[in-house]
Amino acid sequence: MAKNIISEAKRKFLSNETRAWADAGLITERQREDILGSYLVAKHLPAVVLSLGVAMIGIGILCFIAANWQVLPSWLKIVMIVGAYIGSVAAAYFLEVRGRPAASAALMLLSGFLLMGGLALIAQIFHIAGSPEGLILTWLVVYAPTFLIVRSVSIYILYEISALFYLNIKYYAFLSEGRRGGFEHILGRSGLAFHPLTLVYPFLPTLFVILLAGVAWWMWYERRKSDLISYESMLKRIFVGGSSRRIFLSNFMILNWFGWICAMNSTGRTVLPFVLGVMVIGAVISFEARRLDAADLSMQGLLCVGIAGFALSFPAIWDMYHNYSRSFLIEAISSSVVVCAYLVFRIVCRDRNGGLAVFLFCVFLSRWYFDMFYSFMSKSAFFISGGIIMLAIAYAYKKWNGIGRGKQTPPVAPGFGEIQRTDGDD
Amino acid sequence: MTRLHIPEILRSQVLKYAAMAILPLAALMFQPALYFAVLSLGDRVLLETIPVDPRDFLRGDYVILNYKISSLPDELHLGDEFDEAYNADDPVFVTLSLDPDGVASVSGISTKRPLSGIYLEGNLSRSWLGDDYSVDYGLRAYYVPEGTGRDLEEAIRSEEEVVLADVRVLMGRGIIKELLRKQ
Repeated sequence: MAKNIISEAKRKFLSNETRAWADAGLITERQREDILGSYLVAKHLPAVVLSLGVAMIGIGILCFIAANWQVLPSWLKIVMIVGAYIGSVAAAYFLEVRGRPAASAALMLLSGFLLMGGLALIAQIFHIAGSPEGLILTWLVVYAPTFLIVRSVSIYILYEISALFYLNIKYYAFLSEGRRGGFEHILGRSGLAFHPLTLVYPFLPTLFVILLAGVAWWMWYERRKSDLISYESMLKRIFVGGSSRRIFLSNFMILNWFGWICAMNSTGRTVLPFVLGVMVIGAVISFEARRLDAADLSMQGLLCVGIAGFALSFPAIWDMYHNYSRSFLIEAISSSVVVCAYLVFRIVCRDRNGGLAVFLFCVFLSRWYFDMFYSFMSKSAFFISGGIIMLAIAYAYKKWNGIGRGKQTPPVAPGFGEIQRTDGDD
Repeated sequence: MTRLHIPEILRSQVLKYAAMAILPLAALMFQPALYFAVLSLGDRVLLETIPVDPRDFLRGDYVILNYKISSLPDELHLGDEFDEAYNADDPVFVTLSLDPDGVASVSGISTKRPLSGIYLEGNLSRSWLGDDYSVDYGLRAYYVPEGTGRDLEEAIRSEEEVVLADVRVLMGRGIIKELLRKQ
């Protein structure tokens, strides 16, 4: 009999249920083993780390081609780009059909990188100096079906960050006086160049304050309506009431707005307190999440600490506050060590978001790896070796955590150990 | 609640992946088709260049090219419509005349697409002082193999060479075919 492939979480659920049935005398111990034996647990590496490693190798291959392909005829270069894209999509298809959704989603993420790299390389072949926002907008449009259909958190985060990057570039252009300045000119433009969000974006901080006031009123109203609604349940409803994807989006947007508010401060002295504030908020959210047993909230906290820690690993952030003419490398390294120690702690404690903690750890590793080796290694060697290191870490984490061997493991947070497929999500 | 009936074919994995791949493949193939059309059907013009050299993170080394035709001659008096085009980021059209060697110079500029002649489409940019316009034709980059950009720049800056961009132009759209170096 062909065995069905299920996730670790489903196997654990099935194991618990059949244990209860056996204890109640509904089935024998032998029958229980037969039932469990008819399923195979899907083996997969932490999807995000796998994706990062695969993406780095993909970029490395692209860079290798880009650096050496002047000798190739143009048509062959185009065939290679299109072929690489089709190959990654086809491989993703075959992996999904064979019950490897995480690896399939990783390859669809790779296809996204190949697509972006391919569009950039086509511009290179014909010596077109396209604007980055034009490239990103094209990518956002043509990659949208993948983003909507695959529903992988890795792809979601990549898409969301790319979209925010695009919005920030447009907003920066909006702020640059004289050009693309007045509303009448923006309104007068048509086609893809017209972006409705450009009209709303400058007022988003104000809208956010209004939204906060609304949330405060709602909390007060809910609490007055019923004494049964506790502070904890309200926190849950605010922060984890929606899907994890909506929380991701809103959090990134909020951080982005505050980042702009701080960046617009003429002295730039607000940036460091802002970043430290995000880190503290992340730690508090993380603490609350453990108490509330809320995996999504925990993910938020971990992300806040990780992103803020990543920002602090750049000496320029420290320099903006002090404005001294000295290097802040020691501060940058120290903050990275502290955050990495925190991430390792989360991994060692077999945290529910261990996969995300591994991913963030890899991001820190990549950041310093980039700083040390990028300037004197060829780009292709840099990315390919970086990708191999990421895959090695993902494999080591898998081995250590026993993913895929039926061993008792803590439940993995949605999207970070497996592909999230939730009906009604978004 | 009645469940929506979805035909089997629409539920197949093949269709799902086809739906994801169709737009990216269209984008990956449409642009080269357009550029090949300009290269094979466009008029040949030579543009005199002034290079600078940066490095592109994803795309390897490239030489930034500045053209003599980017600066507009003083005798071309730009009216208010050009201020409006600049503010709205609308394109302008620069008509070119060719000398016997095929080297192009500016003969006119308009905010409306010319009906005939060789012309390039571009966008206006303003100098720091804000009193002078130049035109960006989207022909600023010439990509070279990684690590060779600086050598090219130094060779060009030796002032012993003149570098001309061999550009093909079709309906205002220009594509650089190659750089020609002349002693």
